[in-house]
Amino acid sequence: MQPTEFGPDGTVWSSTVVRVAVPGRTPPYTLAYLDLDDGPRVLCRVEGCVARVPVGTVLRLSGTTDDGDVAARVAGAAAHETATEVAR
Amino acid sequence: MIAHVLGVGTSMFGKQQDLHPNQLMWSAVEEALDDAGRPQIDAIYVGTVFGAPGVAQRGLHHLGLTGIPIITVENACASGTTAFHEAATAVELGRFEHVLAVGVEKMTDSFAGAISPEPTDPEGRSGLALPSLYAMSASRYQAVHGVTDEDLALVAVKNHRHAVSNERAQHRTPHTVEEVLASRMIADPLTLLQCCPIADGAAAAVLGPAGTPADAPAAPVAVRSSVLRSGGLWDQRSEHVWGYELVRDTALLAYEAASLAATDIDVIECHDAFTIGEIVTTEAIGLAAEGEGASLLRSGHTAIGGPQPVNPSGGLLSRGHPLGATGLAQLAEIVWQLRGRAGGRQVDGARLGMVETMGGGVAGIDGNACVVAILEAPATTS
Repeated sequence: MQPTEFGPDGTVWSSTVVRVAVPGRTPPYTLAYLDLDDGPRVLCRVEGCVARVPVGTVLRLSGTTDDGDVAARVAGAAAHETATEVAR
Repeated sequence: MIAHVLGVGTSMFGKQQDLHPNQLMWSAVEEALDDAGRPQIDAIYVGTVFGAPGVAQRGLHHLGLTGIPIITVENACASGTTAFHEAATAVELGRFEHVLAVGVEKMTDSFAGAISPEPTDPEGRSGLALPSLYAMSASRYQAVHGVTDEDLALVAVKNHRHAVSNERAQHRTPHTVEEVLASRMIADPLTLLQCCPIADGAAAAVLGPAGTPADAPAAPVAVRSSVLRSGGLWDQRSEHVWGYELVRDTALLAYEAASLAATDIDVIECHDAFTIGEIVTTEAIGLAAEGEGASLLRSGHTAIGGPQPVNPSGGLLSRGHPLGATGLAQLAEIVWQLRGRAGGRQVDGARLGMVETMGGGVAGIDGNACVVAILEAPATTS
């Protein structure tokens, strides 16, 4: 095994909003399985929205959350439009 | 030799904080032994997930079950079914003559709410509690197959209706689609009434050759096949939701071993830990094409009175989900159904029954374990 780099962009395979208490976390928060471009499927926290992100949305990895989770945000020019979409 | 289920038993299911796991086991095992005519037990397999070390021996020695091999197994939600599978296989291969399978779980000692996966896995690390793992499947199904919130709710409506006549189930109140959807959101799109409740319980079965003991009070139910598999890799290369391929492949092997097809099965107990689970599973075991599982609910195909009732007991959604006990509770229901002893929830003329249990939680694979077993009614019951 050896380390390899992927990202930062990927496509949402699915997402959910966790609304129940989980140890060490404060609900609600959005999680998504993100298929990184030419890379693996990773579980990440979607920052900046508390709603499911539509399947197929492009997200960009944005570092880690305060809890140390992999974080992602809506990527590029589509950001505003998609953010509006999911907020409805 | 074909293994037969000679007797089954269960405890009550629900939050039973005042009962020790021993007491849960005693109810289930005593009923199963009586049902089987009390043969000499040669070995015991016990399924449990969160049970304390020695949980099996601690309970069983009080019943005089000592000095024989006792093997405790853990396979997540499929632990009880794994104990059954190993017991059936041991009888088939002639390793032991009469084998007791037991499942036990005192969930209220470990959890107040949702189960979290192991914290070193990405899912556990990121706070993806078990309902959220299934919510991911539900979201995906809604986007790809057009499954609606109402379709998901229909699973809960059906299974809660079935449970009204199951006196051992945790929840026996019928609910409407509106009530299911109006209950508290747990992980979008799954609401509280679409999630199985935390429960304490135990269940047991005695396996052995047919016709033993000669004066057994109930007819033996044949194990036509039983298959256990662990999951394959689940990653970006998989087009399917988590668990689909594991259940599909396990069921195919079970049909093949029994020389049967999905259309032959009269009654099914499957792993409806969350509503989406039953929809995905009914597709994976071949009752509907992929993406068409919700049609079974709309048509009544899988309701009692339909051609292939699924979860006549009320399923995990109504019975509750004591992890280690669940598989053997499902088995007990199928045995009662095939003997024509399921009372107000009896599926008329059921001859062939299926048990399917799916256990998961490990990251990177589409399930820790799946067991599919096919059972056949005694020849004397019609």
